[in-house]
Amino acid sequence: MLETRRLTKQFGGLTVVRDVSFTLARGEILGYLGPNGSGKSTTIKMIVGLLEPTSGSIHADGRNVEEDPVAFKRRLGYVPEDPHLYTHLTASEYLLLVGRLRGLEPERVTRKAQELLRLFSLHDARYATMSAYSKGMRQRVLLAAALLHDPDFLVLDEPFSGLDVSADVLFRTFLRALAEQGRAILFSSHRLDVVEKVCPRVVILHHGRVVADDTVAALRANTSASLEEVFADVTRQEDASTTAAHIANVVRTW
Amino acid sequence: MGILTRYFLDNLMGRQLLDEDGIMGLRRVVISAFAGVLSVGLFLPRYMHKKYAHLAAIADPEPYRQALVTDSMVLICLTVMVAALAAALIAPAMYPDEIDYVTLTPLPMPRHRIFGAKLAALVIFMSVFVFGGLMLFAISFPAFTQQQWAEHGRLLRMGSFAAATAAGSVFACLGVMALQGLILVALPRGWVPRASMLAQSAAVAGLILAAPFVFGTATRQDWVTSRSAELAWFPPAWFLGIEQALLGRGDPFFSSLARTGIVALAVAGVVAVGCYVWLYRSAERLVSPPAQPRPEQTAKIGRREARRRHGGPWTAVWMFTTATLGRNRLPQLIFLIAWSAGAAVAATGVIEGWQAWRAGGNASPKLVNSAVSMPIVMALLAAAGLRAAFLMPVRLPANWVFRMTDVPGARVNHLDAVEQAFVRLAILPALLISAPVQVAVLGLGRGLMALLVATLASAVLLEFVLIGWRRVPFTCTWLPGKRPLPFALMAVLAVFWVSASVAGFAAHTITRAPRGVVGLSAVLITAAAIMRWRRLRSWASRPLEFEDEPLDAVQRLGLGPS
Repeated sequence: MLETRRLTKQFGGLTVVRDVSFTLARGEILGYLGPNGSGKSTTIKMIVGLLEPTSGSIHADGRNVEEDPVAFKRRLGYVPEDPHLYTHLTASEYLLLVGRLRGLEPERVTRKAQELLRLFSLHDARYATMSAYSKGMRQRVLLAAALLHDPDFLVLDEPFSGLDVSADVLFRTFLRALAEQGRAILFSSHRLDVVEKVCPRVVILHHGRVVADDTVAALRANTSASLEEVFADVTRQEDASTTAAHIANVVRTW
Repeated sequence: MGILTRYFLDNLMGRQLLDEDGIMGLRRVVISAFAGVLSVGLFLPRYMHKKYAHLAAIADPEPYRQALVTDSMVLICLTVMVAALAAALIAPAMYPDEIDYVTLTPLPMPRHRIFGAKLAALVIFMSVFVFGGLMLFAISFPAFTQQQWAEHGRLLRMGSFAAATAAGSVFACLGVMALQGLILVALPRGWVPRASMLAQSAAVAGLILAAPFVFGTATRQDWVTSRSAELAWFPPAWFLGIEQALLGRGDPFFSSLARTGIVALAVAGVVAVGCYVWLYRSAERLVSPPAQPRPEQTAKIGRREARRRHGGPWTAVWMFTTATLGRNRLPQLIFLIAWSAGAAVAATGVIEGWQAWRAGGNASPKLVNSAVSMPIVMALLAAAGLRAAFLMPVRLPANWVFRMTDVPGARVNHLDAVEQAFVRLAILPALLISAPVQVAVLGLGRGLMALLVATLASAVLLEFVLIGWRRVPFTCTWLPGKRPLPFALMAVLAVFWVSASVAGFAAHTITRAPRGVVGLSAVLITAAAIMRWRRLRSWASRPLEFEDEPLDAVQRLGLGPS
């Protein structure tokens, strides 16, 4: 189980994440939602160790990850928000780099990397540098890299951006399969339609605080609305039609 | 100046590479460098005036006139090489690229405005070098060398020298532009980045390597006065021909050189403009998808990769380092510039020593000194260049993969791969290239002694270069100009002085008291071992660096109670 306890992050005097607590059980896919600037990516960066929390803690199977961050990272797979990878390398080279940096057995990494590239429809382009890849192809490489070491915890920050419809369907099904194998998956996305289909439970963040933490069914039952409407309600989003009318007005008259 | 031209000009000056702190740092470096060049440059007119006043005092006008022609050639050479170097450094940005096309074409502006703005930015950038050369040499050289034996008036000399240096500089710029244009136009799109990088690296390294030879031959007075036929193959001589023709000298030799110069200028101009026009007309080429590797290429790459399937984190960092250095322009250029400069300095010393030996008939101390110091000089500059190249960040946001895998157990492996990169890319090539020269000059026994000393000195040098190094290459932010330029230069000069002293002492010991090599080796081994021990201790205990920090951040002296 992955658990955050009163996780807080301040940059200078600005508190970006405040007292964020949630749990993520084995075999669960947890949707992590929030409007832009709500602190989603900051929380994720703290979980994967790219940022240090100002206060609070992260626990994996009951143990504070600070006690042994290396052991935790060995069990963690991460797909960052943007497809940040070394585009002067080929997909094959990149996966070997990541596998070796993780200290995996080279023969196994090579075999697994080739197989993942084949399954992710990247095999034909495996020896072309990734500078020539589309965003969706780069995203697939990142997903493959996150799975190389058979992680227990998967942290996915907008993992489906840039994927075409068929890949989208494939990966959604694939995530469920991974969860069924007992992995804990934290799934952050702006695409509420995808979250609704993939995640039985969601945590919604607003101004750095958790404003909702429940199953999608329960949230919808309380308000008898779609997840999109629940989201707009708990994050106090303005009425989209009013805002849209304002924007159209500014475009025309200013 | 239009906003688009200013944007392209900013790009040419490398603004994309740096954040605001970086720009400030770079500005400090440029101002310090300019101040340094200016203060040294102030001595040049004084030197020229003194030299030519002395020549004018001789009753025969010939030495004065021959010196004038030779110095004209040297200065034309210098301006042509500076302009060519500047052009080579910005070669990839000379034509609109994919980003320009994708970003600007959807905007409501005609294509000719995009291409025109890019060309205008290029002209402005290169004009700085062309007019800089003109201001520096075309006015000052004729002004300060005008004496009684001059055959022409000061104004005519200024005009003709200015025209010759300007033509030479423009030829250099157009030549580089034509080469880059031909690569863009003639090669398949998938090949362009590699070919362009290769051409640029070759041009920059070639120019630096050639510098000592070019200036060495250009300063040979007999080369010009004897009307050597070789001058027809030496581009700066073509522009000397133009200067002499403009001065009204009816010498057929110089007229022929001038004609070659004009034809070369016209050819370079036509090719460069032709490529620009061709690219303007078929700009879609900039966004066409590059070809994927063909099946036979894929099989070949697969076989190559299969051979590299062993090894853990060490191999990962080694492969990442070499692939990034091999496929990224800026770090590769920095390394090649330093490597070529080291090779050029070492080769100049050996060639001069060899010439002195041929003239003197017996083993010249200069030749021995040059042979002994050759690997040390080459290794010093190559290692310094490699360190500077490794400091350049490449796709910084992608460094999360190294941040996430920085664990104490693997850290020493990561850094050991960096050490090996210094050994294999900077130090070993220097030793291997120098070994035959040392054996040829010193004989087998003493040559091997020299090689032993050079190896040990290189080990100390490596430790010096790795002081404070805790980075995987290319993965850390970079703040240029952290130390004031004079301090940095003093440090480089100090290291150079120590290396030269060690080389000098080694040369003396090897030739006069070979047994002293044992003592010298012991000192070098001890120094290297102590420095290595300290380094490894630091590597094991401290995390990798991913953020460069300014030196002017508050320094804790630790004097108070803890």
